[in-house]
Amino acid sequence: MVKIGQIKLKNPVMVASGTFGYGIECKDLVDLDKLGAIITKTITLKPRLGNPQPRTFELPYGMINTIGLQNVGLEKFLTEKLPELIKITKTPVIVSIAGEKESEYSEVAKILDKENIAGIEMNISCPNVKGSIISKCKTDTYNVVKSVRKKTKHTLIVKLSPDVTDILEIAKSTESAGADAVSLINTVPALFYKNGNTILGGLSGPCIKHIALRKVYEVAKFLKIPVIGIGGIMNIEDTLEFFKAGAKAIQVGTGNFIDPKIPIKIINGLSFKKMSF
Amino acid sequence: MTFNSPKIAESSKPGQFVMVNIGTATTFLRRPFSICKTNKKTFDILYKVVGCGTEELSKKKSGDSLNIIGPLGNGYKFPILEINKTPILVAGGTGVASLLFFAQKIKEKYKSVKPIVFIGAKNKKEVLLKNEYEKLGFKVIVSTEDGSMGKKGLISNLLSSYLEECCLKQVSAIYSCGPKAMLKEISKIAKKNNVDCFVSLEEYMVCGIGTCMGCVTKTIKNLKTCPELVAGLKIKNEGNNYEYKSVCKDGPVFDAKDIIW
Ligand SMILES: Cc1cc2nc3c(=O)[nH]c(=O)nc-3n(C[C@H](O)[C@H](O)[C@H](O)COP(=O)(O)OP(=O)(O)OC[C@H]3O[C@@H](n4cnc5c(N)ncnc54)[C@H](O)[C@@H]3O)c2cc1C
Ligand SMILES: Cc1cc2nc3c(=O)[nH]c(=O)nc-3n(C[C@H](O)[C@H](O)[C@H](O)COP(=O)(O)O)c2cc1C
Ligand code: FES
Repeated sequence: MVKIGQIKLKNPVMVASGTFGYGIECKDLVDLDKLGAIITKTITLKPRLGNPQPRTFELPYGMINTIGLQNVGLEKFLTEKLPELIKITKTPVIVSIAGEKESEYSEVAKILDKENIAGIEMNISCPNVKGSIISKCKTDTYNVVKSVRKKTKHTLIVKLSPDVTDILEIAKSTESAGADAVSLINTVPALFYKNGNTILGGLSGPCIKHIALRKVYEVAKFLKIPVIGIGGIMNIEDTLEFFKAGAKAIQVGTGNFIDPKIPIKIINGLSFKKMSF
Repeated sequence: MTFNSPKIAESSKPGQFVMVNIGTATTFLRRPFSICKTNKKTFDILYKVVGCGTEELSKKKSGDSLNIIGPLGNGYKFPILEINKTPILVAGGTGVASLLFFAQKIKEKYKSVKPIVFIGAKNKKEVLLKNEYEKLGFKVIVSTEDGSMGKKGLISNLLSSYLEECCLKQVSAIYSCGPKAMLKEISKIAKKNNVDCFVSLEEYMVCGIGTCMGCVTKTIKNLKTCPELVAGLKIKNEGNNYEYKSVCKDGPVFDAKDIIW
């Protein structure tokens, strides 16, 4: 068992935001009850249309996406998606949230506080929306985490971008603002030329694993709160590397697209190795 | 290419597809292919080699196994066929694949209908599955861009002149699968003739199950609140009137009226 804030996870394997929909879509392919936790697609106060096509680009060892946080919005999420997900699984549900400004984050957190969820993951690191990435600035990071902390008693995880000069400084400011854990990394800002058009997006998959490992390594030793490792995890070997770098738990992202059973295979592998967490 | 998978063969509906993990370093993501026909324990796909994934697929040998997810997507809605009404299928390129499965099921359900299929292709070599449609008792009308088979020109022109001459009351609906430009033309023609039209779209896919929101297509949010679009006018405030729907989960088959081309 692993503890992240107040959440007791039966195993340290979660599915990453944006790669598992609202959980419901995967129910026929994955035994949801086996997962450590489910992180939902990032939810915003109002529905978001997302970016025009093209949105995804394949690379030999990964992909670039510019989805633009398309989501149904908080209201529809709470009336349609969350109740259905909770009905079909007992696995802890962690809701990923984002906003255009600090006040939107805290408003979403306030509304979620009354809901039957296990925790909140603040996405302050999405490269695919207008404006700059909050988690690039330690003061902005501190302020937004602090204001969300005031509004929620749920376990609070903060998801960080690797695209910063000093990741430890950012991670520490989330800790001092009251976060229960940090998750890293979000996608790596990248550029793709498609028929001569310049497309900005986020890079993910096995090609970013070693960047992610390095970021986890750079912060894990110096924080009291747990670090959740994300980035290119495809199998148990990758998972063990993240543990070695200091992660207490991991999330599978792009791996779910290649094989939705990867998280379960990792979980089975860990229990076979009789890992104790 | 035939796959042995009783589960997929039993549960698939026409218009649905499978996501194939080709599993080489150069093709990181799964590739979508329509289910072309089914037998008791097997199902077929028909594919054209266009890039590295399909190239690798063509090297597979009998007895190899592949990791596949399916059947996926919504599929074609069955026409409620009244007596004397005929569905028209319009296929372009490999679009013949998903429509063949539909044709197979139409014939199983309604033995007496005499449906028509229009097949368009670049040249004679790319006119596929013509015999299979004929075996099912479909009337097959072919056009090729170079004139090497059937009438020379685009299949949409052929459909257009056919509709002008035939009795529209006898057409139940048009079902179409093929390149986007063709589908757009077909849906225009259907609209002009006031015939229902269903199109099967293609977009780049990542997950195939509606989780990544990568494969979206622009659709009208709510016809009732969008009078301009109903009247065929340009919409003023686009922001309120469209949304992106996933082709893999909400589609791949859409009512052509809902698509913003
Ligand atoms: C729902 C669905 C059903 C399909 N059914 C069939 C089928 O029955 N038979 C068949 O031959 N093909 C079908 N396709 C298209 C097929 O998935 C692509 O041809 C295939 O993925 C190409 O892979 P590749 O690695 O060989 O080519 P790539 O190297 O990925 O691309 C080669 C070329 O094909 C184009 N291309 C690749 N994928 C797509 C796509 N999804 N949409 C439009 N253009 C694309 C690229 O722009 C490029 O020019 C279907 C696609 C979808 C979405
Ligand atoms: C298609 C796609 C959509 C994503 N959407 C989100 C999102 O909505 N919120 C978020 O916090 N991260 C999102 N991510 C980032 C992933 O959760 C993850 O942090 C990143 O992809 C790195 O992990 P991976 O290499 O295992 O995919 C998305 C990633 C992809 C590929
Ligand atoms: S391919 Fe992922 S949502 Fe359609």
